[in-house]
Amino acid sequence: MMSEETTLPNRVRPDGGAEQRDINDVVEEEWVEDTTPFERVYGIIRRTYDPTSAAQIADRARVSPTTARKHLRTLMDSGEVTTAQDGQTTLYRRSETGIVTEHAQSLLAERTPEEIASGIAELKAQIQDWRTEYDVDSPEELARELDIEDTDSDQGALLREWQTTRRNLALAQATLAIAEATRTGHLTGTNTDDDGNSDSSIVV
Amino acid sequence: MTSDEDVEPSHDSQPAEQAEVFGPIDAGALREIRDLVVNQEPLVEEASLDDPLNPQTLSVDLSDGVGAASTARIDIRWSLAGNYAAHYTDTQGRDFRFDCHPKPDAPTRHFHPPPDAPSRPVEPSCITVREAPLVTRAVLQRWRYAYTNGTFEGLNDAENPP
Repeated sequence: MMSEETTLPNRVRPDGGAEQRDINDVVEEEWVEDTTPFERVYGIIRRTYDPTSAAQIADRARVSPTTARKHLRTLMDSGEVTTAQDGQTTLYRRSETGIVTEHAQSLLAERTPEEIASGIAELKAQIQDWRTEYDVDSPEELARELDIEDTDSDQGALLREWQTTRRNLALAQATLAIAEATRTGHLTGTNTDDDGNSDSSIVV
Repeated sequence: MTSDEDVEPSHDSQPAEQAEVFGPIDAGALREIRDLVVNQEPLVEEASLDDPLNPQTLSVDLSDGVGAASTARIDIRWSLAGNYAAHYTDTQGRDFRFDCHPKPDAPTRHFHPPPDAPSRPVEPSCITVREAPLVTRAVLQRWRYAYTNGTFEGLNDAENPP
């Protein structure tokens, strides 16, 4: 099915030029144009959960190793990134603090603490249902029992959903703790109420 | 609190690349992709997570579809390990998917071709970049190609610009 009209490119591909270029190169160029080196290093390390060298981060962020190291140190100082030592090499990964902070910020923008609290109860119930239904304690045990090979299968989908739900439960609980600390003002010493225990604090 | 052994018993065998499974969905990555898609693609009507508290999928509603299709949707999943699935479906019942995840007897980066996006056989995917913002741009670029030309022909060809 050929179409007769060759419509002009739009802003998904702003880069003039009629020659045919590999889209992988095109999107990489666009990304580098649209972002600063810091944004790219931060963007990459935010999704790096396995300890990774600065050289590898630099490669993925399309910056020099020196630039990567500089920004990674800044991010380490602010708690966004944590390090481990492998001989002479420093390995970097996203910190738990960073993961929780990012998640809490988005979630609290979208949901109230009350909604999060009731959501937590639902996630726990869901996990309990799976445990009962499949008679296993964890998604890993399920994977072993079912010998799941194909992630496209229904069983693969269940495994993914369970593992995801477990992670999102932990994140929701951490978010709620931050919300509670914000509400009381105890962390900043700006609490206005006198610490009453008749308050509406949410215990999960 | 539950009687959690939810705390994993130290990832026994987890090398750099997570083997075999898709892995848990990365909620932060889905939000990042959502924001990028809204910013990049003018035909996006809505881009939303299925459940903000427990997101499994980002759904991107498009106000038009390829050829005769009046609207379309792209469903995106992204895991902590960097595995992904981007699934196009439209009102003409046509589907395709750009995927990256372990699959028996298939390349990790693979393409489920239209019109049915069958589970197999699959083709190697033309998308070889790895980072979420790059893959997102590449998927949008391939959708744009099909939309602009009104055809799925050449969709999985890295050299065909929109």
